[in-house]
Amino acid sequence: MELIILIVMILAFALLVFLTKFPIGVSLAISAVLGALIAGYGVPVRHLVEGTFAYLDPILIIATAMIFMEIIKATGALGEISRLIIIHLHDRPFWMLTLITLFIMFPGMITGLSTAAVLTTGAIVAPALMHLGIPRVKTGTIIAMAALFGMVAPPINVPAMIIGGGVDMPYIGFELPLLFASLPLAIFTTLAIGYRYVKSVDIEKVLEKLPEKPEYRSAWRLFLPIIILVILMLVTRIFPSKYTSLGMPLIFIIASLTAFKSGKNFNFYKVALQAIHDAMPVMGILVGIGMFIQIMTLTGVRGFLIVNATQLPSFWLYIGIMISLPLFGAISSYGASYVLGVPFLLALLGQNEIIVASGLTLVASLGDLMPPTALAGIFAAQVVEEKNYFRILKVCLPYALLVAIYGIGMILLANVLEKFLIV
Amino acid sequence: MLKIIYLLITGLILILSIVDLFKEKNWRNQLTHLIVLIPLILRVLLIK
Repeated sequence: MELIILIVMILAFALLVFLTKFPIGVSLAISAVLGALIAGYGVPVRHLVEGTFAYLDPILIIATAMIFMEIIKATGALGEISRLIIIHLHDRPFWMLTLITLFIMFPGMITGLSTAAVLTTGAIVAPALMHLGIPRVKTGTIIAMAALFGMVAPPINVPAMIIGGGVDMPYIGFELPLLFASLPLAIFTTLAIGYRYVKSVDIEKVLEKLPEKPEYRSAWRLFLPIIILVILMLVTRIFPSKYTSLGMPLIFIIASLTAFKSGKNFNFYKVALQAIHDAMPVMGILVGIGMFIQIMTLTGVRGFLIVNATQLPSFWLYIGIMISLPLFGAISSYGASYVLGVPFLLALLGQNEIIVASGLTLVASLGDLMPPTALAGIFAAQVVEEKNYFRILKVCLPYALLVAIYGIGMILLANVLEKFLIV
Repeated sequence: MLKIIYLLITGLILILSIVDLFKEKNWRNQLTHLIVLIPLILRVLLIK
């Protein structure tokens, strides 16, 4: 019976998304109601409302992080960082590409969204990368891959929060494992794709295409919001007994408030409204996943999945992780993290859970490259004005395979890595 | 104190979401707004 309910829920979800073009979050909510109806629970309003609260914390984080991102974009701070990196490092291609990678990753790191990285910093550096001599498709690939790694990198990794929420594991101690999962791969990928094109650069041509220098009194003032963000995030982690943890949403709001008069003037209401508009689909997905999972739990489907995942022979378990997590990500990498990530984590108990979850999120992030949704790929294609996003996905393929193997490697070696990565 | 601040932050996001709901033209996207509003309203009203 559980298998039938699961199949109906997934089929209903796929039909709603692909045929009737409902938003992913709403489709998840409707398929959850259908699942409950088929299982004979009617429309369990209490459970559905309970489900909407499952990811309220990540929702607040994403909303406030998007407000912060829009504000530092509006003040000109983001554009200025891109300009400074290229001006000062054009004759040192290794460091330039490394910093550009970190720059593209930054919004993904603080929002947990690959699309935020593609559409903000990705869009800012795209013209510069192309004028550095990197072909259009490869520029799109660099942006899409860096955005994926940004989504995985700390401090905010939503799939890790979702998997942690599913097994009652707090989102603490993930920083080093997530850095290990994302940073080496991110730098390697950008260098492998772009290094040969940027060995010699005509800086004058590149400068023409960079955003204009914004008017600001001092660089310190312009970058103060980012500096305050980093300080507030670090200080409560380094001195937990001295400083009360403020929580990420409050930190983002404080950092946003310090942006007034730091660079270009902006209207807080308009910028915040735009940020909420951009974040709405993802907030909807999180609410929908919460409802979907609540009904999966109510109807016994979740237990059914976990029991079956734990009974898989280990070889097939790893193959299953490599294939099913990215495939399910075509629907939603967040959904894949919960529906499949949690059973896989439970099947791998005995290994260090934090490192296993980090490896799983790395593999799950590939879902953002999986057609037809392929959020990172499609938006990266838009940013570089490439009409056929499959050309970008084709270049991404070997690197995606490398990411999957690296993720599985992390899971296999979790107990060895634990000695180095868990503080 | 932190609880009150977080209620204010939730309230801010709630208000912005409601404004965005009325600016949204596509009814399918309006449904997304509606499901997002459920936890925000219940939390601001301290019902859950």
